[in-house]
Amino acid sequence: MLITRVLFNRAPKADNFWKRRRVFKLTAHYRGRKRNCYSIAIKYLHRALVYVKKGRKLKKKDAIELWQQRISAGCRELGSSYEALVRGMARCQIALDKKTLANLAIWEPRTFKSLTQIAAAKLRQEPIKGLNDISPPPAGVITRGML
Amino acid sequence: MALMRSLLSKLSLIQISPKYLRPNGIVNSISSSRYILQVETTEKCAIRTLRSAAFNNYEGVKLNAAQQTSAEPQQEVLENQHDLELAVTKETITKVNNQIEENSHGRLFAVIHFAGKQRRVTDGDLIMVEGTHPTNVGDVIRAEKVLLLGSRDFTLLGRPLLRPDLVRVEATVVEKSLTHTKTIFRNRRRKNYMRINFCRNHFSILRINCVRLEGLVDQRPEVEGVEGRIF
Repeated sequence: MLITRVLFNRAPKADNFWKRRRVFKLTAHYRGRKRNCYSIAIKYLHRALVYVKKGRKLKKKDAIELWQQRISAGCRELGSSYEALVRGMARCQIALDKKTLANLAIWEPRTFKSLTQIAAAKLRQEPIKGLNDISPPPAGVITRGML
Repeated sequence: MALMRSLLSKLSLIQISPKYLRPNGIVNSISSSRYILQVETTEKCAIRTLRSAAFNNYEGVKLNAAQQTSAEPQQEVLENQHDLELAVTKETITKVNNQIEENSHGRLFAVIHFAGKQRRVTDGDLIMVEGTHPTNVGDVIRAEKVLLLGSRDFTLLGRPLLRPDLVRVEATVVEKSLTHTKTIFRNRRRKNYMRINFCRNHFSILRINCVRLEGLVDQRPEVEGVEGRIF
């Protein structure tokens, strides 16, 4: 038997079934023809995969926005504001980030209240032009020149 | 005729004399107008002085409108708050130290800065650290950057970090593995450009063994930064 003739044969064409199955497994939850028709499904799948990649960055951005909203809400409940808290804390060299501040605002309200009071007392000593005083002067914060 | 004369004589007897003038009343005769004006002006002066007296917080009423009212300088005497504040501070610190000595503060939580992120931890927590970490499973790690320590009754805030001889946070590495497969798909439609990559990152899971206070507040050692160093 002539083997070289066999070796010169081109590889058989791959079965489309498996290529399309890979796509259909990912589009199983789509609606209508997007679920079962390959040429329609592939378009929507490509878009979905691109959104997965974009969403990883947006998730971080959305989380930061959410934390900021929650901190602001917690501050306003106590008569302060987000800007006052953050700027007061920066001046006192307290380096807590938005994630932990939001966590404390929800789960450790006393700690959060003390933070707002410290920031407000600091801003009372070193006022910032343009930052309005929402609340009356805080009681119970003793600075002794340390703030 | 006799009736008419009697009426007339009776009418002539009635006179409107200035004595019976009332200060606010309206009188028709011209001669009495002077009296009304005088009464009215004196009354207006009295009202004006009463109003000014109320405004200046004066006791008594000065009816002489010509006299000028002088405002006394208002002074506020502030007490020295320093000693009061010191006393309150010391009281608070002793209360906190009593709780630490008796170990009656309960569960402590801490905010640690670990692997680029701040995490709020307490005893028994599991934290996930993404990326390669030079530790092995079973190693005990001490978290050195502690920003905040809190309990039910008090919070200790670091500026920005708390002293290492005051707080101790220890963790054990429990698991080291790879994350789930993440697809990175890039597509430029109608431009014949499509790339797909798959990625799995390393991660470690740490179990926080303890968050505890080791020293007393406001009692700093004479020499700091010496613990754990090898000389």
